[in-house]
Amino acid sequence: MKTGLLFLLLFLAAPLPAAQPAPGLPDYGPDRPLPLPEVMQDHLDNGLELWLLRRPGLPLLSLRLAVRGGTASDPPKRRGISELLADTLASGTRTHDARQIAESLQALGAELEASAGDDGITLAVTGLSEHADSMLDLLAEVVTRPTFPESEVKLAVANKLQALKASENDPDFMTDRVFYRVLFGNHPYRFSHADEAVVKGVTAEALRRLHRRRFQPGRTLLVMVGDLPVQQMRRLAEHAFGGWKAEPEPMAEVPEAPLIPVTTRLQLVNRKGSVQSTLRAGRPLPPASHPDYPALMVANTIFGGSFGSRLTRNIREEKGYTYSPRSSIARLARGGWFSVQASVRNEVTAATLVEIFYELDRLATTEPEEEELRRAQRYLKGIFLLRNETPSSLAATLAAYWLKGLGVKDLRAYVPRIEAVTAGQVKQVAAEYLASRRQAVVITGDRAAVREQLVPFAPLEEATP
Amino acid sequence: MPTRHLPHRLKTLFLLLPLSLLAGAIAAEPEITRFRLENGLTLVVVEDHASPTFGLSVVYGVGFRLEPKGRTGFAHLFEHMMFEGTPSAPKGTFDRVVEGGGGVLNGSTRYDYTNYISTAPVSALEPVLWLEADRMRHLDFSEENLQNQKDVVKEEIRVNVKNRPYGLFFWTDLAALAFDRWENAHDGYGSFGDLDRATVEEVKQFHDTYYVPNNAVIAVVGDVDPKQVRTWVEKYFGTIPPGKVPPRPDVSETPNTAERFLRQTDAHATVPALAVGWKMPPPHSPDYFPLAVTASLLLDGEASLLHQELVKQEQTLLEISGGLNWPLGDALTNGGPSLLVAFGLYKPGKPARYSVGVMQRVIDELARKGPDPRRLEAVKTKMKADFYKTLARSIRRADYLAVTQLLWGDAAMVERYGERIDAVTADDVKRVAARYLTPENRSWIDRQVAKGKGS
Repeated sequence: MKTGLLFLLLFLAAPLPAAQPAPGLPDYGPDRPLPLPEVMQDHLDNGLELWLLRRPGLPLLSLRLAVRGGTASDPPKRRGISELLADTLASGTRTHDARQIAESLQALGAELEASAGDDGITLAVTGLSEHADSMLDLLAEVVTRPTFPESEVKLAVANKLQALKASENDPDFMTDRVFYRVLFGNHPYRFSHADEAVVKGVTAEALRRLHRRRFQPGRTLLVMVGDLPVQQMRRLAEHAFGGWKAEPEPMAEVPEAPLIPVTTRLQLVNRKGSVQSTLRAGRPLPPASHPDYPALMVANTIFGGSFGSRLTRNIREEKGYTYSPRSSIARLARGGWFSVQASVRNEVTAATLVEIFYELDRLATTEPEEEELRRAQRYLKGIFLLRNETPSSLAATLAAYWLKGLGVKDLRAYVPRIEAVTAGQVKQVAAEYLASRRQAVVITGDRAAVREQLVPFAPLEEATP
Repeated sequence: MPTRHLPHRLKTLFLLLPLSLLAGAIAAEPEITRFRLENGLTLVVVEDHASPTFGLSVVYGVGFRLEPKGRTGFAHLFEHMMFEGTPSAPKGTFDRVVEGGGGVLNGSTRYDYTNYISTAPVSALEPVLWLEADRMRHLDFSEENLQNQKDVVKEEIRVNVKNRPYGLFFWTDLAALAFDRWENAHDGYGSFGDLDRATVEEVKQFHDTYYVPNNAVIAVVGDVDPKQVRTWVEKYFGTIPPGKVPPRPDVSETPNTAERFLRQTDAHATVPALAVGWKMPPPHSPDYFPLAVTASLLLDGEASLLHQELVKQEQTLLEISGGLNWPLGDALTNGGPSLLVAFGLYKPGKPARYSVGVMQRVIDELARKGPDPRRLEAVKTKMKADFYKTLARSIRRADYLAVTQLLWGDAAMVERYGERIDAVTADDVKRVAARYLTPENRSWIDRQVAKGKGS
């Protein structure tokens, strides 16, 4: 889960006495005020939004361009075509072929990563700030003048089909497909991986049409973070993107996602020969702007969102069932979700499920201890800082906020909102969202090895990815 | 058994000297402050006030290569035990202090070192240093913790190896095929049998032998005052007695003289894969950095020669990745024999051998004609820029400083990486491609799908 950053002049909470039972362990030192870099928010005449931020230090510049409309905005029969659009954007323009683009980026010390998410398509370039103008020109060329050459599209389609085939028996892939379907039913957020039939049907012409419709300066944000004055960033952005013409075409709004899973019956996905069960439990959550999120993030941290969480202590450090259990919260523009995951040896599949449910319900019925609450709050505030440490991670956070419909003010409010969460609120949101009876459950494993154990959780449904 | 508790008289005896005084003429690197304690512990500090945080890496000079024979996976199992508490800070304390300090922590085991890394707002630095010193001094060597972590490590191996398509064969199986010495060839994750046989006594012995100050480097990067860090490190680590680290055995290897090949069947994969490894000279060889550059020319990103030839032109591979000391590290994080690895998924139509032949054709041409000068320049720029991007995170920067100080005896390698890369010429590339990237020095695996899995 991407969070925000340290724009506030803020002080972390008063020092917390470090763990009691270690004689001699020094206390935390005094917390330092955090620096307050300013995001300059601006836009070009064609509507392109600019979020610019100077980060002195290493000679790096990160560009992040986000376009509203991702897989959730794809036509239902072509859901996932956005991914191919992202895959092929840099495969040719009116003036350069794919190899020339790749070689230009290499010479700039940069890479261009394009990806499609539920809410938008994002392009990221990080390189040396001395090459800022070339990086921007190249990004603008790829974004505004791609040609989607036939041969490149054909290869991308063939490779995507082969990649899908390669994922077929990957336990996470199998689990994802069932999990998001059960969480979101027919809502477009059900998408996790494109269907083979959709990929097969993608043509160069279809991508060109989609690009014309989707890529509009008025629905685009350019984030720049790096070692350059913001005025210079603005000039470079104007030079590279100023000539991009708007051809406004309305885009259908994605409806708000449902809050209840399609079913809470346990879904068993058979994977013959599996030596582990891949467990996933979770449910949909409200859109990113919902006021319950700060308390939900604290609840998630206490439950399973950090190494010192209850879930990790229980099923890893006490019972040794699993290596890397975790829970997470994802926020999207029109919904979100909570998920718990653990991969466990076959014999302890049911036992793990019991512990997951136990920890969820414990948090939903009793308030966390004060020390546990404060530790979770300090953790969230600290990693907020750490996750936005580099120009590229900061740019990624900013672009992700924008795509979710959040603004710079939400970033500024992040830490105070986390600090304001009370033990009572944690219990309240846990009761509302995390109680075990509200969770959808998917288990991918060897049916013959685990089915018997799961009888107490009947009725089961067998699902196929 | 020597106890890890310290005789009190030693507490007043340590001395702290700048490393440069001890080591004589080390090139001045004003950004990097180094000290060596009398017990042999080396401290590296870099001030960076960009963010009120720190990155910390504590690195010990032991990894897969030196783990006991008959105990594959032991170095990694031991790493897990370092998080299981001590007589003074019970299990869970470390996580609570770091996370309650707003940070994260981790550890990892590699061929030549094991690292313990953390990053947090600077207010947490002093207690974290105390905890690092505490677990260097002693551990809670309990049967219960050992059994628990054996279970956890087995789940780690299941999730990363036994239950997953390809299961890291391009690391473990390829090394087993290419190398001759047990130290280099054995599976660093370990067999379940060897893990089961590990005892608490062996854990103690390993800690006593390798987890000693004179076999460790600490690096701190961030919003810190080097003098303050030095004071804390003196205070908390200075009283830990040095150990007698056994001399490093000879683990050297020479290039192979005949191709090695293995056909395997993957229990989970639905698409076949191949992995090729060429044995590399040791890090101090003059051929080493030229090989790092050659690896990037061949394998780094979409502009690379093998991507262009195999993914774009021939279209026989779905994707290709790899590099020097890949996938566990890079040129700087290796202290012994290594492989230059290429890994890819191949498509139906042409056998794996065909793609391997194309690879060799590209390499032979490079050895004959040398690289296009523009590509050579571009790839150097890319390597340096990528390195900067990595150093932008203080935890990674601290780790590079600690690892290079340990393996190269010089944390300034981090500063000089760019010079090493820049010094590589087209002739160097020709020479090392011809010398090392040969069919005779090549080991490769054709990893096929099991019957009924593919189509």
